[in-house]
Amino acid sequence: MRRAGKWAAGALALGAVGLFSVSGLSVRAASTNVTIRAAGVISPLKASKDAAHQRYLQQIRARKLAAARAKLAAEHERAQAVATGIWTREGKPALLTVIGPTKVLVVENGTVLQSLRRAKGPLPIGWLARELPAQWATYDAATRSARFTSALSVTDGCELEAEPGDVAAVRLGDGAAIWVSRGTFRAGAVAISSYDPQTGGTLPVTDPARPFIRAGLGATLAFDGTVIAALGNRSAPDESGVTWGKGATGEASQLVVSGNYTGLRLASSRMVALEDVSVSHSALDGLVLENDGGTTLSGVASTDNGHDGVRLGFGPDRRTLKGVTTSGNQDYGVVAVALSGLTVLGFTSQQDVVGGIRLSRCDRCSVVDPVTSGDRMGVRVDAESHGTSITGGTISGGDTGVDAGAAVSLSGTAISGASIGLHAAAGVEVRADRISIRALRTGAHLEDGGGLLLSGSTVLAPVGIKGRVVYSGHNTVALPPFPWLGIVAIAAIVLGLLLETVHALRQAGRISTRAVAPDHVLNTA
Amino acid sequence: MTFVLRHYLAFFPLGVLGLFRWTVWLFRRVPAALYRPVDNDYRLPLSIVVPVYQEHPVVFARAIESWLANEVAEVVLVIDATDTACIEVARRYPVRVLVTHVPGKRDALRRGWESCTTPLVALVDSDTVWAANVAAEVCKPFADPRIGGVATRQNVYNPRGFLPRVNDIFLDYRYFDENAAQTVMGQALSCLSGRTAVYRRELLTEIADEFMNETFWGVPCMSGDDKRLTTLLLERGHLTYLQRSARVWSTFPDTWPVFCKQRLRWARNTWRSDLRALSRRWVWSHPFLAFCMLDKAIGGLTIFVSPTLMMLGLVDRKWFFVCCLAAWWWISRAVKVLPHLRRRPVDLFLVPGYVLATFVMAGVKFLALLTIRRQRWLTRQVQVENGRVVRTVEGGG
Repeated sequence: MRRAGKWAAGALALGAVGLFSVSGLSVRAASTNVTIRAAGVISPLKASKDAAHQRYLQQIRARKLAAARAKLAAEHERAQAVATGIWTREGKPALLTVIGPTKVLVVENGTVLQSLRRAKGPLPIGWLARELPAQWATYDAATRSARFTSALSVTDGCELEAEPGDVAAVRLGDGAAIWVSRGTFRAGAVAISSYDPQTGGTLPVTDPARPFIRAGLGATLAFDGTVIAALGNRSAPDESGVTWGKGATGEASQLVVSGNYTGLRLASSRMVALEDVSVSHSALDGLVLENDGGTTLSGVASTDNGHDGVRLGFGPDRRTLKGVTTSGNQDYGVVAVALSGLTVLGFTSQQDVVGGIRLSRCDRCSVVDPVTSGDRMGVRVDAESHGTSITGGTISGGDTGVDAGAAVSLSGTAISGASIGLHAAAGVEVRADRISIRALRTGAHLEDGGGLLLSGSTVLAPVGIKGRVVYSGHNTVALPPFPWLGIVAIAAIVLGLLLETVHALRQAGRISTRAVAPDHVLNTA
Repeated sequence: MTFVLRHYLAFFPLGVLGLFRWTVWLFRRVPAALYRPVDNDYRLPLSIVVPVYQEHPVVFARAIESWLANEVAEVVLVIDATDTACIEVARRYPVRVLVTHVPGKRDALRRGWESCTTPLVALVDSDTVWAANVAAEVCKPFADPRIGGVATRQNVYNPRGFLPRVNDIFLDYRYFDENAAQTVMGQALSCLSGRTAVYRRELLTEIADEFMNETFWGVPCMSGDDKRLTTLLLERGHLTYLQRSARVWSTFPDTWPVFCKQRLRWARNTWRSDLRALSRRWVWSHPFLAFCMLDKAIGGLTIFVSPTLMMLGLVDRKWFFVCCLAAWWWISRAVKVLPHLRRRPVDLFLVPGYVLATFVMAGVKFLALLTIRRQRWLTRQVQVENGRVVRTVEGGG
């Protein structure tokens, strides 16, 4: 409440301006009187005129004061209306800061308490932390960190910026958030995270009011070298971390996101560019792309997230996903749901627990040059998908290399180290051309009614192919190469043991060293 | 097929390298398994010559007592004049003390054997404790007149802590594997260890000048006396023998800096001696010895391949490969040090540490190759300056 009475003070100041104008007139009138006295003639008529003049002046003064008060009230009313709209729309936060083009409104429970004038142009977030009442925000000069307990709403045409020259860290308390609607939030190489005043650390993922960053229609979110940690909650999808919402745009470069509820979410966004972005340890998915238009990805890594590394769904059609690597995610590296004409290009997945890629209810989707290793399943195609093709790439390790729940066409793919190289569900036809399978157990397992058309391929496994297969061209289906090195290693071990036995037998009957060693020598065995 | 190719490019060479190393080891292990010490009644009078400098008095006293417990003609202690503590200890025993003002082990050894009259001379380190039958056992191989020197089996004196125990494994590996094989395959040991080695005195006198004036690339050699004596004997056509029934125990460092310094000194000596020997014709008349020297040089460098791949596996999080390689290290090294594990089974748990120590030693060995010309004892205060052995600290005791 450092500046809680500032609104009232502003009103007084405006009143004073009115008063000053009126008193100016008064002075001029007094001067006239002095002149008359100097002449030494004061007639009753003159006096009457003076009184009328005085009344006239008082009326003018009163009108101006009333006009000033009315203007002030109107401004306040407008500000209140804006604040009420935002406050209501954003879930009625207890403390709210509305950033406008020239003013910052300080709002408590929907009521505007104070209006801070600000310079036009981008608003440094550090200025905001220093100028807002302490209940809303504080600034720690020692650590150059701005801490907010109020939600921040960046309104039309405004720009809020967090740059390293201004702050080193932005910490958002319980219930705080950054909403950008038609404005811009731009962050440079600063750390943005949630903040728990009790522990001094970040808020737990279970906190239902954990802060988030969201950009709405016409808004821009831009990050360059920013580190974001522990944002987002489970209350609503657009509060799950950092969200480019419907019609939002922007870019992220050298962005590191960790510990969000959902790392980054692009939902119906437009033309968002993500370059060298790392998303990790999210409670749910790392990166969610839903009906986003014109998104470009380059050097995106999604690792160790609670569910999928990258989740795409519900549009747009005929998109290409490339430049993505995933590892250590608890479900799949990439999941695509209800997409048509998707091309997953040059994707790398390592040790994603359930699998590398899953295509669910996808139509005419392609996976080109995938590299998966250590996933339980390399590529999974669900039953409702149609016209899926897998071209090139290497799939290694795990239980199943390719799990076809619907018709799949494979070409030039190498599958190795999996228990089952290729599995096709009942009734599913798989075409495989120039593929290589080196499986630990079964090369290809085709359930009843399923079939494999194999051409120009190699299948090496203890059990080559189970199920109906049609060969075309030259194919090799054989046992895997004999592990000579392993056998030689075992033989060498056995030979070593044998030689030691021979040696021991030849040494039998020698004099015991214990008998001839001095008493103080203990190492006599 | 990309993965398969990459897979084989990465791991196949390691397998082939492992196969090569195992084949080489089996080449040594088969004759080593057939080794037997000489057993006869042959005896010759024997003197013990001990150069003494900066020895721990208690260890020194125990060593003297163990030598005297053997039936030897005399014990000659050549003690550095600055080492008053050891001189005092020596005066308490029926031994001959020669006080020398000339620093350096080589001069002390020469003074010692020149003062002896017996046909056999044992050159012994001052911290080496003998079993009661050493003098009797070491004489036996000399029944063969071609034998010029005899080595004993050595172990760490009461090992406690990681490094002494690892050193004990190294010693058993040496005497049950390398030296035993060299004895069986041509009776030519690469080194009669200076902790205790027995020579015919007449041969020592014969090679004294060459021994004293050894240089490497123009720099007089200070350490490596034992390897030099062995080489000079072999060069003259004499043979050497490991008599493993003669057991001695020596103290070993228990701190990493001292351990590494000692290994660095030994590794330099080995590089110098082996490189010089391999460039001479005589060594090729002992093909197995030449083979061992080459193996030691090559093995010292190829050993880096395995830990490098382990590091790559860790960085790349190839846990299956990492676990397989670690398990292979443990099992294969355990088999290679079986003679030690038979007498100390609990040291099976020390094998991983032993493996890591071999990697450290490989690094030390490589460093030794890079600094092969440097002449410093490292664990005692002497070094070569301007072609002369000098004390680096006066009055060491």
